[in-house]
Amino acid sequence: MSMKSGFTDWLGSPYHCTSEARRESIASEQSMSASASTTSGNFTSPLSGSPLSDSTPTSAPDLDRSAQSGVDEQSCMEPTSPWWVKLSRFRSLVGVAVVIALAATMPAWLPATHFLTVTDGVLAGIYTLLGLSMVILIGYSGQLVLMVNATYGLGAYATAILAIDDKFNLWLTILIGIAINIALALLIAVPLFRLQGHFLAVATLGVGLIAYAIFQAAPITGGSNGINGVPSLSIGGLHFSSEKAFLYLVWLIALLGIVGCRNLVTGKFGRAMLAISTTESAASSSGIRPLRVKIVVFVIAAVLTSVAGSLYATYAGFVSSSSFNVSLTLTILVMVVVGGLRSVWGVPFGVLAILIIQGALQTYGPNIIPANGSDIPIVGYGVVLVLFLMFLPGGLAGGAKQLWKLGSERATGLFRRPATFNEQPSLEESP
Amino acid sequence: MGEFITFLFAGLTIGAINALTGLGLLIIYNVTGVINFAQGDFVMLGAMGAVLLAGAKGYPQRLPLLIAIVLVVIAVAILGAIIERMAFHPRRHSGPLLLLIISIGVSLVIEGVVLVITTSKSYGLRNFTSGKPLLVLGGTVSLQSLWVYGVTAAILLALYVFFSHTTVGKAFRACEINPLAARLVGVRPSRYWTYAFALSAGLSALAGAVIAPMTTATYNMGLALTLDGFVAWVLGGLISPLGVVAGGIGLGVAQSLLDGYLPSVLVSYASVFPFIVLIAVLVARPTGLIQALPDRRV
Repeated sequence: MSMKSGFTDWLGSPYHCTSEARRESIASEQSMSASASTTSGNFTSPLSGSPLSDSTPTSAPDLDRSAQSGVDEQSCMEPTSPWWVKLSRFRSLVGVAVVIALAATMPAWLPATHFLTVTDGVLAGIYTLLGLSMVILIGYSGQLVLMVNATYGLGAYATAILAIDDKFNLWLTILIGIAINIALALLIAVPLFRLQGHFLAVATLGVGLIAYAIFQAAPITGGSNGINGVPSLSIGGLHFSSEKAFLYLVWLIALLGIVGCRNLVTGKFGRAMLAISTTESAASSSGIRPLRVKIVVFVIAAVLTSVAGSLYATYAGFVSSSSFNVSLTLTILVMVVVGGLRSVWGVPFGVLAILIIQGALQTYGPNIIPANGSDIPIVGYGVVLVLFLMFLPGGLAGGAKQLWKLGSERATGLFRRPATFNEQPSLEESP
Repeated sequence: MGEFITFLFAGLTIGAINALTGLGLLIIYNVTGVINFAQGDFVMLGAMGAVLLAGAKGYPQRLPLLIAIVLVVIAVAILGAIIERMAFHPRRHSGPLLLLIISIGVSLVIEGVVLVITTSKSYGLRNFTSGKPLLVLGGTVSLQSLWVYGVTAAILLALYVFFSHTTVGKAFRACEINPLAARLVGVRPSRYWTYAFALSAGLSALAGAVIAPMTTATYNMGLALTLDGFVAWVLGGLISPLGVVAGGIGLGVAQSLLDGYLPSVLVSYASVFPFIVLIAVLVARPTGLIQALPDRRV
């Protein structure tokens, strides 16, 4: 793959396509058998560079390579494909296993880094939920909604205000938080989604700022003094009061969120999301209602962030407005870009990468930079964000996929195809 | 009455800065289509740079103010051009969302670098002219406010002359109106991306240097300035410089009067006002604000 096509086509380019659409085009290619090289060859070439949403584990054979190699090679490739190519059909299961392993060993490896604690592991799980909301909204639906801090804060305050002094059952408050968030999302979705592109970004950022001002000033939230004494979760005889127990709970929920979002984006609805992210009018002319898709995604995102907020409130036991600043939204955005804006599996890795950078900067930064430790990570964020956008816009997930493809192409000898086959059409260049 | 006049003049000062930031956003957006989240950081750089070169209030003086400000404006303009070349230019075909996220990243980088240099303290700049505040109709106006009005008016006049009476300025407008036609007559729109960033950054830096004596400069003042400028720009209808100035001043005066006259229960919500206006305007006229430009000659 040429580096250029990998960089340019991930957002805003007309050449997006899901792996499903690619499968369909390949199916038609196979039915056309020999004539595949003439028209459909040109048609599929721009698709091969687009960031892949992983193929579903069981039903779909791995057709990505056959998409590039053409039809002829497919028949001779399948029987001899090495174990790692076969394994890639179960990428999602591998992903689940990796995330479980990563989370399960957290109490061991986080303190071993000397600058992270188990608390960071819990936060990583919570931020993963927030990041997922951004991946489905920004990465897949193309709606630059930047108000994570508002919905997250709303969930946290719902739990904190209602659960304090054991007024309500803690689990009930999580549900109430979700209900409030859904109600608010439905209320503001219709006017908000009349806006497009960066106007939506600025308006939602404005919603985030308004929410932060309300969190600061409203008497019920306690402002920056906050609310203290939120009880910790328990179910039956199982108490999640210890940090380790809560860590596993959070990551279980995060994993559920990841798998749920992945199913969402790989299904029919996911194709609708991708369709509205590229050309809304084309999507609506093929029977998709853009507003409905946006509202559904918006509500799902609100639910994810609300749960994350409630979990944060009960974990920290203390909620104050400073946790819901607009800078939180920007931090999560950086994490999501690092993980891969269009990768559900990339989120936990992006979150951990940024937390590691942040921890390292906070610990070792003051030796180099004479400033408050808490202010220093901002240096790292900006640099990391710009570097990733410039050199690896697909994020860690995109980079991993490129490497994987390169490796398996080398290994199976599929590198022989004509070099021009994979070139991006020159439309990207100015005439 | 005197109180009202005081608030009014304070509002005009805020409004002038909103208007200049909004104009910076407008120049970049019209030529490049980028919404530059780092605009407020250019203002911050102007303020911070002037403080660093001229010496902060209460510290020994370094350079004379005028020289310090000229140097800062030139330096920030060059920085704007460098940022455009390094961060935006290579990705200029990648769609508006990516460019927006890049500008957020640029903003974080600028804030980070300034943080490293200034160690998160806030600095004031000494007033351009010393003297007692003027009394106008029973209200007070600080002399620095007069400087803000004067500089804003001078910038607006200069921009007007630049865009309508110089070849480079006309080429700018050609790039906004029709990049393809501009190419045909020998203007390179992609080069004007760089010029637009330089012009806009220099303009914002000047605005920052002028307000530095009234608001203390801190590394993280940029985002709020960007958003206020954005409100001014949206209020002004996105393509009209005069509209942006009117929008910015109107917003500033409204902010100041709200701050002054809201009952104390509500005054902590006053900072929310611009964003409520912003969302209301955006939602009420989502398409009307992005008007297709009629074919024009420059």
